Amino acid sequence: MKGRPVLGVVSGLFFGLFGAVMLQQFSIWPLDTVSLIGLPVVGVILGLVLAKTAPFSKTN
Amino acid sequence: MAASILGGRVRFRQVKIILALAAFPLLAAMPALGSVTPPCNGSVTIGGATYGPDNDTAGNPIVIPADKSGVVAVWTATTGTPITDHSGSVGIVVGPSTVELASWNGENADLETTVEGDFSLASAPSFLQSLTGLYEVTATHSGNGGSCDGSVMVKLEGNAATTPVGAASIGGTVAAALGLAFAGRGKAV
Repeated sequence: MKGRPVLGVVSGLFFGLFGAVMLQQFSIWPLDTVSLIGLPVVGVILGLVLAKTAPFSKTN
Repeated sequence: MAASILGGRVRFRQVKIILALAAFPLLAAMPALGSVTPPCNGSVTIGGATYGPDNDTAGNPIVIPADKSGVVAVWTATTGTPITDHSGSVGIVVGPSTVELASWNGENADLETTVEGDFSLASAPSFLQSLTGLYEVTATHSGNGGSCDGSVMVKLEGNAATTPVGAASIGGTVAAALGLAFAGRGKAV
Protein backbone atom coordinates (compact mmCIF):
# COMPACT_ATOMS: atom_id res chain seq x y z
CA MET A 1 0.00 0.00 0.00
CA LYS A 2 1.38 3.33 -1.07
CA GLY A 3 -1.32 5.32 0.71
CA ARG A 4 -3.25 5.09 3.97
CA PRO A 5 -5.58 2.08 3.96
CA VAL A 6 -7.12 2.63 7.42
CA LEU A 7 -7.97 6.22 6.59
CA GLY A 8 -9.29 5.04 3.26
CA VAL A 9 -11.61 2.44 4.79
CA VAL A 10 -12.95 4.80 7.45
CA SER A 11 -13.35 7.71 5.07
CA GLY A 12 -14.92 5.52 2.42
CA LEU A 13 -17.41 4.09 4.90
CA PHE A 14 -18.54 7.52 6.03
CA PHE A 15 -18.48 8.84 2.48
CA GLY A 16 -21.00 6.16 1.56
CA LEU A 17 -23.17 6.70 4.63
CA PHE A 18 -23.31 10.48 4.36
CA GLY A 19 -23.70 10.21 0.62
CA ALA A 20 -26.72 7.94 1.03
CA VAL A 21 -28.34 10.39 3.45
CA MET A 22 -27.55 13.29 1.14
CA LEU A 23 -29.14 11.52 -1.82
CA GLN A 24 -32.23 10.90 0.30
CA GLN A 25 -32.42 14.45 1.60
CA PHE A 26 -32.17 15.87 -1.90
CA SER A 27 -34.87 13.50 -3.14
CA ILE A 28 -32.61 11.63 -5.51
CA TRP A 29 -32.77 8.14 -3.98
CA PRO A 30 -34.52 6.81 -0.84
CA LEU A 31 -32.69 5.21 2.07
CA ASP A 32 -33.13 1.66 0.86
CA THR A 33 -30.78 -1.29 1.03
CA VAL A 34 -29.05 -0.31 -2.18
CA SER A 35 -28.00 3.10 -0.89
CA LEU A 36 -27.62 2.48 2.84
CA ILE A 37 -25.60 -0.73 2.47
CA GLY A 38 -24.33 -0.53 -1.08
CA LEU A 39 -22.83 2.94 -1.04
CA PRO A 40 -20.72 2.40 2.13
CA VAL A 41 -19.41 -0.85 0.64
CA VAL A 42 -18.49 0.99 -2.54
CA GLY A 43 -16.89 3.71 -0.42
CA VAL A 44 -14.74 1.21 1.47
CA ILE A 45 -13.61 -0.37 -1.79
CA LEU A 46 -12.86 3.08 -3.19
CA GLY A 47 -10.82 3.92 -0.09
CA LEU A 48 -8.80 0.74 -0.40
CA VAL A 49 -8.18 1.30 -4.09
CA LEU A 50 -7.06 4.87 -3.43
CA ALA A 51 -4.78 3.72 -0.62
CA LYS A 52 -3.27 1.04 -2.82
CA THR A 53 -2.69 3.18 -5.87
CA ALA A 54 -2.09 6.50 -4.09
CA PRO A 55 -2.91 8.54 -7.19
CA PHE A 56 -2.46 11.81 -5.34
CA SER A 57 1.16 11.18 -4.37
CA LYS A 58 3.82 13.66 -5.30
CA THR A 59 5.95 12.47 -8.15
CA ASN A 60 9.61 13.27 -8.59
CA MET B 1 -53.69 -0.44 3.47
CA ALA B 2 -56.70 0.80 1.65
CA ALA B 3 -58.68 -1.93 3.27
CA SER B 4 -57.47 -0.84 6.68
CA ILE B 5 -59.60 2.23 6.57
CA LEU B 6 -62.68 0.37 5.59
CA GLY B 7 -63.47 -0.78 9.06
CA GLY B 8 -65.88 1.92 10.18
CA ARG B 9 -65.86 5.13 12.12
CA VAL B 10 -63.47 3.98 14.83
CA ARG B 11 -60.84 3.04 12.34
CA PHE B 12 -61.49 6.19 10.37
CA ARG B 13 -60.44 8.18 13.43
CA GLN B 14 -57.45 5.91 13.80
CA VAL B 15 -56.51 6.60 10.23
CA LYS B 16 -56.57 10.32 10.87
CA ILE B 17 -54.16 9.81 13.75
CA ILE B 18 -51.88 7.82 11.50
CA LEU B 19 -52.02 10.58 8.96
CA ALA B 20 -51.08 13.16 11.55
CA LEU B 21 -48.18 11.05 12.76
CA ALA B 22 -46.85 10.43 9.34
CA ALA B 23 -47.58 13.86 7.90
CA PHE B 24 -48.44 12.04 4.76
CA PRO B 25 -52.19 12.21 4.35
CA LEU B 26 -51.94 9.60 1.74
CA LEU B 27 -50.07 7.08 3.83
CA ALA B 28 -53.20 5.58 5.20
CA ALA B 29 -54.86 5.44 1.87
CA MET B 30 -51.97 5.01 -0.49
CA PRO B 31 -49.35 2.51 0.61
CA ALA B 32 -51.34 -0.28 -0.91
CA LEU B 33 -51.42 1.57 -4.19
CA GLY B 34 -47.84 1.31 -5.33
CA SER B 35 -46.93 -2.23 -6.32
CA VAL B 36 -50.28 -3.08 -4.86
CA THR B 37 -51.62 -6.55 -4.59
CA PRO B 38 -55.28 -6.88 -5.62
CA PRO B 39 -57.98 -6.14 -4.69
CA CYS B 40 -56.86 -2.87 -3.04
CA ASN B 41 -56.72 0.40 -4.95
CA GLY B 42 -57.05 4.12 -4.43
CA SER B 43 -55.95 7.61 -5.29
CA VAL B 44 -55.11 10.93 -3.70
CA THR B 45 -55.26 14.45 -5.07
CA ILE B 46 -52.80 17.05 -3.76
CA GLY B 47 -52.61 20.53 -5.19
CA GLY B 48 -54.49 19.53 -8.30
CA ALA B 49 -52.31 16.51 -9.06
CA THR B 50 -53.81 13.04 -8.72
CA TYR B 51 -51.61 10.16 -7.66
CA GLY B 52 -52.20 6.43 -7.87
CA PRO B 53 -50.56 3.01 -7.82
CA ASP B 54 -47.87 4.01 -10.32
CA ASN B 55 -46.24 6.50 -7.97
CA ASP B 56 -43.88 3.95 -6.50
CA THR B 57 -40.53 4.93 -8.01
CA ALA B 58 -37.94 7.58 -7.22
CA GLY B 59 -38.60 9.23 -10.54
CA ASN B 60 -42.35 9.28 -10.11
CA PRO B 61 -43.12 10.01 -6.46
CA ILE B 62 -46.10 11.49 -4.69
CA VAL B 63 -45.11 15.12 -4.17
CA ILE B 64 -45.86 16.97 -0.96
CA PRO B 65 -45.24 20.71 -1.44
CA ALA B 66 -42.93 22.61 0.90
CA ASP B 67 -45.57 25.22 1.58
CA LYS B 68 -48.33 23.16 3.14
CA SER B 69 -50.55 26.00 4.25
CA GLY B 70 -53.97 25.61 2.72
CA VAL B 71 -53.05 22.38 0.95
CA VAL B 72 -55.59 19.61 1.38
CA ALA B 73 -55.14 16.01 0.29
CA VAL B 74 -58.34 14.38 -0.90
CA TRP B 75 -58.10 10.62 -0.90
CA THR B 76 -60.17 7.55 -1.64
CA ALA B 77 -59.45 3.88 -1.12
CA THR B 78 -61.24 0.74 -2.16
CA THR B 79 -61.14 -3.01 -1.87
CA GLY B 80 -62.89 -5.35 -4.23
CA THR B 81 -64.36 -7.34 -1.36
CA PRO B 82 -64.78 -6.59 2.36
CA ILE B 83 -61.80 -7.56 4.52
CA THR B 84 -62.87 -8.38 8.05
CA ASP B 85 -60.98 -9.07 11.29
CA HIS B 86 -58.04 -7.28 9.79
CA SER B 87 -54.72 -5.98 10.99
CA GLY B 88 -51.89 -4.10 9.39
CA SER B 89 -49.10 -1.59 9.69
CA VAL B 90 -47.39 1.23 7.85
CA GLY B 91 -43.75 2.23 8.00
CA ILE B 92 -40.79 3.92 6.32
CA VAL B 93 -38.09 1.85 4.68
CA VAL B 94 -34.62 2.47 6.15
CA GLY B 95 -32.04 0.23 4.55
CA PRO B 96 -32.95 -3.44 4.93
CA SER B 97 -35.51 -2.77 7.66
CA THR B 98 -38.73 -0.82 8.07
CA VAL B 99 -39.44 1.69 10.85
CA GLU B 100 -43.07 1.20 11.79
CA LEU B 101 -45.10 4.38 12.03
CA ALA B 102 -48.41 2.88 13.07
CA SER B 103 -50.38 -0.34 13.24
CA TRP B 104 -54.05 -1.16 13.49
CA ASN B 105 -56.65 -3.89 13.66
CA GLY B 106 -60.42 -4.11 13.54
CA GLU B 107 -63.49 -6.08 12.59
CA ASN B 108 -64.97 -4.09 9.67
CA ALA B 109 -68.39 -5.24 10.83
CA ASP B 110 -70.05 -2.95 8.30
CA LEU B 111 -68.36 -4.85 5.47
CA GLU B 112 -67.21 -1.61 3.88
CA THR B 113 -65.20 -1.66 0.68
CA THR B 114 -64.79 2.06 0.03
CA VAL B 115 -63.73 4.98 2.15
CA GLU B 116 -62.72 8.52 1.31
CA GLY B 117 -61.74 11.67 3.11
CA ASP B 118 -59.46 14.67 3.18
CA PHE B 119 -56.57 15.86 5.30
CA SER B 120 -55.06 19.30 5.77
CA LEU B 121 -51.29 19.06 5.44
CA ALA B 122 -50.85 22.08 7.66
CA SER B 123 -52.29 20.14 10.59
CA ALA B 124 -49.42 17.63 10.61
CA PRO B 125 -47.01 17.75 13.58
CA SER B 126 -44.51 20.61 13.35
CA PHE B 127 -41.39 18.44 13.37
CA LEU B 128 -42.69 16.65 10.31
CA GLN B 129 -43.38 19.92 8.56
CA SER B 130 -39.65 20.61 8.24
CA LEU B 131 -38.69 17.23 6.79
CA THR B 132 -37.50 17.03 3.22
CA GLY B 133 -36.36 14.24 0.97
CA LEU B 134 -37.53 11.04 -0.64
CA TYR B 135 -39.14 8.34 1.46
CA GLU B 136 -40.27 4.85 0.57
CA VAL B 137 -43.42 4.16 2.55
CA THR B 138 -44.62 0.60 2.79
CA ALA B 139 -47.69 -0.96 4.33
CA THR B 140 -49.42 -4.26 4.75
CA HIS B 141 -53.01 -5.13 5.57
CA SER B 142 -54.61 -8.54 5.84
CA GLY B 143 -57.67 -10.27 7.21
CA ASN B 144 -60.54 -12.50 6.27
CA GLY B 145 -61.37 -11.85 2.65
CA GLY B 146 -58.01 -10.79 1.37
CA SER B 147 -54.71 -9.11 1.94
CA CYS B 148 -52.86 -6.13 0.52
CA ASP B 149 -49.31 -4.91 0.66
CA GLY B 150 -47.36 -2.40 -1.27
CA SER B 151 -45.32 0.74 -1.22
CA VAL B 152 -45.23 4.24 -2.59
CA MET B 153 -42.53 6.84 -2.91
CA VAL B 154 -43.19 10.16 -1.17
CA LYS B 155 -41.20 13.28 -1.93
CA LEU B 156 -41.30 16.05 0.66
CA GLU B 157 -40.30 19.20 -1.17
CA GLY B 158 -38.10 21.83 0.42
CA ASN B 159 -34.53 23.11 0.54
CA ALA B 160 -32.59 20.22 2.07
CA ALA B 161 -29.48 22.36 2.50
CA THR B 162 -31.27 24.41 5.14
CA THR B 163 -32.37 21.46 7.27
CA PRO B 164 -30.09 20.05 10.01
CA VAL B 165 -30.00 16.59 8.48
CA GLY B 166 -29.41 17.90 4.99
CA ALA B 167 -26.64 20.26 6.08
CA ALA B 168 -24.98 17.51 8.13
CA SER B 169 -25.08 15.14 5.17
CA ILE B 170 -23.37 17.70 2.95
CA GLY B 171 -20.69 18.45 5.54
CA GLY B 172 -20.11 14.78 6.28
CA THR B 173 -19.83 13.88 2.62
CA VAL B 174 -17.31 16.65 1.96
CA ALA B 175 -15.25 15.73 5.03
CA ALA B 176 -15.25 12.06 4.07
CA ALA B 177 -14.24 12.95 0.52
CA LEU B 178 -11.26 14.88 1.91
CA GLY B 179 -10.38 11.82 3.98
CA LEU B 180 -10.46 9.69 0.85
CA ALA B 181 -8.19 12.16 -0.91
CA PHE B 182 -5.67 12.03 1.94
CA ALA B 183 -5.86 8.23 1.92
CA GLY B 184 -4.78 8.39 -1.70
CA ARG B 185 -1.66 10.35 -0.95
CA GLY B 186 1.65 8.57 -0.56
CA LYS B 187 3.06 7.96 2.87
CA ALA B 188 5.88 10.20 3.97
CA VAL B 189 9.25 8.49 3.63
